[in-house]
Formats: sequence, C-alpha cells, structure tokens
Amino acid sequence: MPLLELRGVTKGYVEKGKYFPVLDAIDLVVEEGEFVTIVGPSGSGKSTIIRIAAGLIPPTGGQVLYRGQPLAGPNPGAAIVFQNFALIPWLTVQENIELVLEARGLPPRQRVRTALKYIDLVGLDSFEDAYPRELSGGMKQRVGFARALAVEPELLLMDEPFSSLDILTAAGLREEFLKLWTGGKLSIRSVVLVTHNIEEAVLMSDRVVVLSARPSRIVGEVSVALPRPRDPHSSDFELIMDRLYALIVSSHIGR
Amino acid sequence: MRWMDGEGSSYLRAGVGEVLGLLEILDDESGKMDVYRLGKSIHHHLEQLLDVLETARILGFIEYEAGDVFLTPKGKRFVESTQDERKRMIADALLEIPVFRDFLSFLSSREDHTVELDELDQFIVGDFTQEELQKIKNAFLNWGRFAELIWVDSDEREIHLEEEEEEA
Amino acid sequence: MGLLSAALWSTFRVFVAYIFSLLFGIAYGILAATSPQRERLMVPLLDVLQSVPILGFFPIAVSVLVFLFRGQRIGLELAAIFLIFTSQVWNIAFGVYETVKTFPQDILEMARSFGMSSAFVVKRLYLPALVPTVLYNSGVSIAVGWYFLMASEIITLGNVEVRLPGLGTAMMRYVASGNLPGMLGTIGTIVLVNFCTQWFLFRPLLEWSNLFQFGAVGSAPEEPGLVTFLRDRIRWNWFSRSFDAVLLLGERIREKRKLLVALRFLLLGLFLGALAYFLFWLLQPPYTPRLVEIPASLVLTTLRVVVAVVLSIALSFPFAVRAAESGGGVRNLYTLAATMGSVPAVIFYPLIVRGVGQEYMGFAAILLLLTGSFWYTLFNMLKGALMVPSTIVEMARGFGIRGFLYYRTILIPAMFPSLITGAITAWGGAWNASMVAEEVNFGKEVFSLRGIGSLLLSATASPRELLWVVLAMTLWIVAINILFWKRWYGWAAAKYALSE
Repeated sequence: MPLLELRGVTKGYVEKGKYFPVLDAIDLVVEEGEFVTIVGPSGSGKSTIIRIAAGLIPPTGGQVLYRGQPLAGPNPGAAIVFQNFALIPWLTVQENIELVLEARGLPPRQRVRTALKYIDLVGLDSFEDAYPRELSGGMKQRVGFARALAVEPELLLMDEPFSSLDILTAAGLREEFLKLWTGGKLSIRSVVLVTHNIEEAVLMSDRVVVLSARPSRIVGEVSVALPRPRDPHSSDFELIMDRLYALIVSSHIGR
Repeated sequence: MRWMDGEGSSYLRAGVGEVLGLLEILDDESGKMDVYRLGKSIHHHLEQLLDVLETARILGFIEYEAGDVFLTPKGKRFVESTQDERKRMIADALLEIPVFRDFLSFLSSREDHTVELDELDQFIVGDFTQEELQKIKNAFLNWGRFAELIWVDSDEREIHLEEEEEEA
Repeated sequence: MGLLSAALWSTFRVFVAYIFSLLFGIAYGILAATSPQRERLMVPLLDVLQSVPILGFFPIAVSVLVFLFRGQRIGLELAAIFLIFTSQVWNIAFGVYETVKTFPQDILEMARSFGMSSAFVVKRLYLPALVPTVLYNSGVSIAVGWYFLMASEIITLGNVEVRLPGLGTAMMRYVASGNLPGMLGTIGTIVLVNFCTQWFLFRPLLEWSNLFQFGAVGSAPEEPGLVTFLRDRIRWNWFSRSFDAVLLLGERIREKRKLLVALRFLLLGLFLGALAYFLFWLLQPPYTPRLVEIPASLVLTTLRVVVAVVLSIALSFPFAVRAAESGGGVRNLYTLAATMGSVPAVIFYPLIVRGVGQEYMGFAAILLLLTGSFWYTLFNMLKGALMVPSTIVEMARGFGIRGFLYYRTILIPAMFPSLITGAITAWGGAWNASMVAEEVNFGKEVFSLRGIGSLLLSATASPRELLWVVLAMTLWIVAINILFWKRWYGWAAAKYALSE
C-alpha cells in the first residue's frame, strides 16, 4: 500500500472576491521507501502540496489518503522541515526539540532522552544549550532536521530546506541527510522534497515530478535510477538534468 | 479598451538588466546554449530562468527549441548596440506587443497625456494573484521607462507620456 | 515618618493598577488579535479608549464607585486605582495586539504541523513572545501611572473634597502651606522610587528581553538574577494549570451555544434600551449656557494642545539626532526619560500659575501640556532614530551630506513614521494634561482659563452637563484622529518605509 496518495487534488483561494486556482487536479502517489521530489517555479503551489500532505490545509477538491485512510486534520505520521527553520528564539537547541515532544505528550524524561539522541544524530552534540541566534544557518537547519526526526515520523516533508543556505553549506547538509537516509537508521519510510533547484532534485531523489506554473498540473516526471552517492559530473547525471530542463522549459515557454 | 489575449502569456516578467545579462551570456557562448548549462550558470534559479527566457523571447531576442536557446540576429544586434540604439530597439519591440500598443494609444488619447498608476491594472487581463500582477506591472513600467516611452511620477502615482523634445 | 507611609501607599496604588493593567492588557491584546470578529469590535474600541483624555472620565468613575460602596474608603481607593489603571493599560494592550498580530506565520505553521493545541500555542509561544513589548510598555506605563497618581489622590465630588493618604496629597498640602523642604522631599521620594524601579527592575529586564525577539542576532543576553530567582521559586506548574482551567472554562461556555446566543440578544436589548433612554435624557432641553459654551472651549483647548505637540517635536529633535549618530547609550537615555517623565509636573503647576498670575496663565498651561507630551515624542523619536540603518548614516557621512541638507533629506524622512507615532501619542498626552491645566486652586485663590478642561471641572455638579462635555470632547478627538492622524500615518508609513 502506498504511504501517501493525492487523488485529483485541487486547491484554490479567494482574493478580493476572485477565485484563484493554485493546484489543478494533482495525482501523486508516494510509495513506501520512496524519495520523491517536486520541482516547479515559485508560486506553482509546491509548498501547498506539502501543506496538504501534512494535513495543515484541506484540499478544495479531490482526496488525500494516508496509508489508505482519508486525512482529516494534521497528519500525525508526517513531520516538516521548514525553509526558514521556524525555530523558537528563546529556547535552546534542546528545548526547541523538547517543545514538540511535549506537544506530542511525551513524559519529561523521555523528552530529554529523545532530544539528545537526535541532537547527536545530526552532529550538534555540545550545542544543546545554544540559542538559535548563536548558530549559523546550516546549524539552524540541523536543528530543524533533528526536530522533525525526533517525533519519529514515517513521512518526512521537506519544504525547500536548503534554499536559505549558502551553496557549500547546502551541499554538506544534503550529503549528510542522504547518508542518514540510506543508512536506514531513521524511522522515516518516505520523503517528499519540494525545491526549485533541479540539481538538488536529481542529486537526492528516486523520482522527480515537474509542476507547471499556476494553476499547477503535473507536466511529467523523470525517474533517477542512479546509485548514491551521485556524481553531478557523470554523463548519466547530466543526461537526466538535460531531460528535466527540457521538460520544464518547454512546458513554460511560448505556452 | 481592454486588450484580450487567449493565452494571457505575452507579458514581460523580467527586467531590463536580467535580459541584458542573458543575452551577454548567450553571446559569450557564440549564440547557442544548452538550457541545462544555462540553468547551471545561474545556479538553477528556475523562476528567474523561466521569466527571463520568456521575456527575451517575446522581445524577439532569443528562440527556444528542443532544449537549446539561440540568440536571434536581432538579439545579437542588441548586444552590440550603444545604449541609445538599445532604447530605440526596445521602443520598436514594445510597440509590437499589443498590451503596450493599447496602453500607449490610451495614454495619448488623454488630453493631458496622463493616467493614474492604478489604471494600468485594467490592461493586464488574466488570472493573476496580487503578487504576479505587481511583478508584471513593475516589468511593464521598467521597460516603458527604459525605452523612454513613458515616465512615472511616483509621488502623484501617475504615468505620463514621454513627449518628444525639440532638439535645439 | 509621614513621607514613608505616603510613599508606600502611592507605590502600592501604582503597582496594583499596573498588575491589573498587565493582566487586562495581555488578555485584551491576545483576544483581539486571534479572532477577526473580536478584532472588528475590540480594535476600534481600543483606539477610542487610548486617545480619549482619561482624566475627563474620572469624575464619572468616582461617582459610580462612591455610589456602589456608599462612600467608604475602599470605593475611593478603587476609583484612584481605576484612574491609574486606565492611564497604563491601553499602550500595553495595543503592544500585545500588534505583537500577536505580527507573530511569524512559519512558527504558527510549525506549531500546527507538530500538533500543538491552541492553548499550548498561547502558553508556550504567544506569552513568551510578548515579553519585549510588555516590558517596553511597562516602563512607560509605570511612569505615566505616577503622573496620574497626583490627580487621583485628591477627589472632588461636587463641593466635597476627599484626600487619600499618599504622595500626591502630601505634595498638595506642602504646596498650600508653602513648605519648601516638604515639597522637595516629596519630589525626591517620587524620583527615587521611580529611578529604582526603572534602573533595577526594567533596565536589566529590557536588556534580557532581546532573547524573545524574532530575528535577533548576536550572542544571547545574560539572564538577570531576578528572572533566575523567580523561575526557581515560583511554582509555574500551578500557574500553567490554572491557565488551562480558565481556557477550559471558556471552551465549556462556548459549547453552550444556545444559552450564549440568548444571552447575547438579552444584553443587546438591554444595551439598546439603556442607550435610547440615555440619549433621550441627554438630548432633551434645557440647553444650559454651559452646553452652548462647548464648541468654543473645544477649539481653545485644541489650539493649546497643537502648540504643545509642535513644541514637543521640536524639543525632542536634538536628542533624536544625537541618538541616530551615536547609536549606543540609548538604554540609559530611555531609563532617564522614563524617570523624568514620571515626575508629575502637575505638582509644580499651582506654584507657577500663582507666580505668573492669571494674565500669563495661558503660557503656563502650554508649559504643563508640554510636560505631558514631550516624553512621548522623545520616546518614539529615539526609537525611530535607532532604526535608521547605519549604512544610510555612513553614506551621508561619506558623501559629505551635512547640516540642514542632512536633516531635510535623510534624517527627518527616515524617522518620519515614528515622528508621527510620537506626535499622535503626544497629542493624547497633551489632551490629558489639559484636564488639569485650565483650573488651579491655590488656597482660596482660583485661576481659570477658558477651555474644555475648566468647563468639565465646573460641570461636575450636574451629571447631565458632565456627560455632555465628556461625550462632546470624545467625539471631537476621535473625529480628528480618524480624519487627520490615521490618514497621515498611513501616508507616512507607506512613503518613508525604509526598504527599497
């Protein structure tokens, strides 16, 4: 059974009495064990798909199934890594992670144990007591990852998690996440990544889904059957990049 | 008065500087470039890439075909021109675009050759969010001012027709 | 010693009123910011309450409370505390509202995605995020509270005058008897109490509050000893549980929808009935000479207030320029301003008025209005000056833009929005001071200026006339706020926003 299914999902909103469609009949199936990336220009509703999958907003039409069951309200099996980290400034690294565990109703002792475990896992040991303001962007996003992993979700949703970081830091963090993912130490069954960076998509995922401009439809997808770690300079990699770019640009230019 | 276009996609979205940058890159690559390599050279900023390609195409400076971007002869001439010649080329190109033509004839039909900034909204027809509308309007004014077809009084929130000055 | 007990009584009143202001202001702000329906009602109401001279309502509040408690001391104490409360609460409520309203959306989204309940969000996210704004406004509130304390301890009811024990009463007694050491001692006590509050309580807390600011950078501020002490000694679990209980009660009540709707209609009916009766009572003749006097008095007072606001801005300007250029040291200036602002200039006023005599009382009155408005322009313009990006100051220096050109093209436009905010609050402050500036009793001598303040005082004997004066003044001020300040502020904020 697939972990997540979007069936004919549409989403729109009303602005100044006018209806704006954002998503137009999206069909997306995320199988267990799969790493899917959604690419598209900004405003194409990529982030809306993440929010619908997390149960934060209901779709206007269509169906969202999680493990075969219709989703109503926040998806307890999913956790999000946010583009702008969304850390609480007055809480330390450890307290930031403990906060979401407290919200999930974990007893105090277990909160501490779990928080420390994931702080270790993302390589932030000895930074437990630091405040977010004292950390670099890359370290902040490590906290973001640790927080999402700490609630031990089955589905990890990543909303442009590397786009607030500089190029080198982003590359390092991507690499580390892929090691954790392929290392099989995580509770996560599947990942959905949203990005406007096509290279990032090909570098990380098993399958890349391309969205059109708003109102977004899925214009095509490319599967990436390359062994990890992937070499961006290999001809296979460049071939896939080339195909993806052609797919995206032809669907936009001179429409 | 309203200008209608079935596809609603002939709006310029990128600015003067971005288009110039694209044309310079293409010119350095002797006029032809794989779109993937072009994307790589601007760090895969997808949105910017799509906007600038579409804008340059509408102006007739590039062609896109099967994964490759070509500099047209007109684009090549633009890169090699002086600032004044560029302004004239853009003015000519803008007059080919229906939305500009309509707006300019509306503007010159006004007695004082002036319209309110907000009146521009009615020329941009389509299913746009406020954010997109703003982007299109900004690009519109950006190109119109560069071509010296219009000038904008931000304090009064008015758009004026740029009158031809008598050369002494 | 008499002074000590007077000081304790006065401090007690100010702090009791402050604690109520804190609880009420936070609740009001959060409630207004979290539901669009409530917002539509509560924000305009807040606007009106914030801009109306509270002192004008004092006689009404006193009458009601004295009637309720049958003239017992507790009624008078409550009236005094109520007056101070109304001077302290609105800026806190407004600060809370603004902070909750601008709470980062991505954090809220994060909270929802990790399944945090709304009670959890209020308790663990909203309340801590309010720390900076609440502390900043508390410093101002406490200072303003002291200013009004002086007016609240001496209560006139028709021909009867009641005095509550406290520094305000003491000061009046010393002034009346011409006891200079007594006066100096009282003022010294007020300054000392305030200085201690600002320096030892708010200054360290204000510095620490930077921790709760979204987007703050640099190393985290040190935790003050007071905070550590409170955290270790107070059983916060108890607070947390009572908070949950209150929320639960709210939920329970909300569940009983039918009852609530019925109650709402009943209240609305009662309110409309009362309003109709009230208007009938108010609007029927006779129109006494005092009512006919209202328009001219309003105009006269408005003119004095405008002069005071303009002078306040002019006087604050040099300080703001200094702050923009030096940057640092502003916390000290804030503490100093908060201390000086709390010195109730009202108490010198009778002396000054007697000194200059009835002939020049107009100038003395403007001077008093100035003390009620200057601190607001100073606070706000300091804040505005600090927000001028240092790159702009450096750019000006680099290109040799100096003197008048610098002020005209760079500094004034850059702080324009906060200058307007300062002017709006100063306008409110000057109106408030007008309520006491226009009539002075010095022993048996009475000095009086024509204006809405003196008219109000003369009307206290007749409830109908009193209400007429207060309502006319309220409508006038609210109308000016809507027609003039609101528009100007919107324009300034849009035009001089410091972003490109």
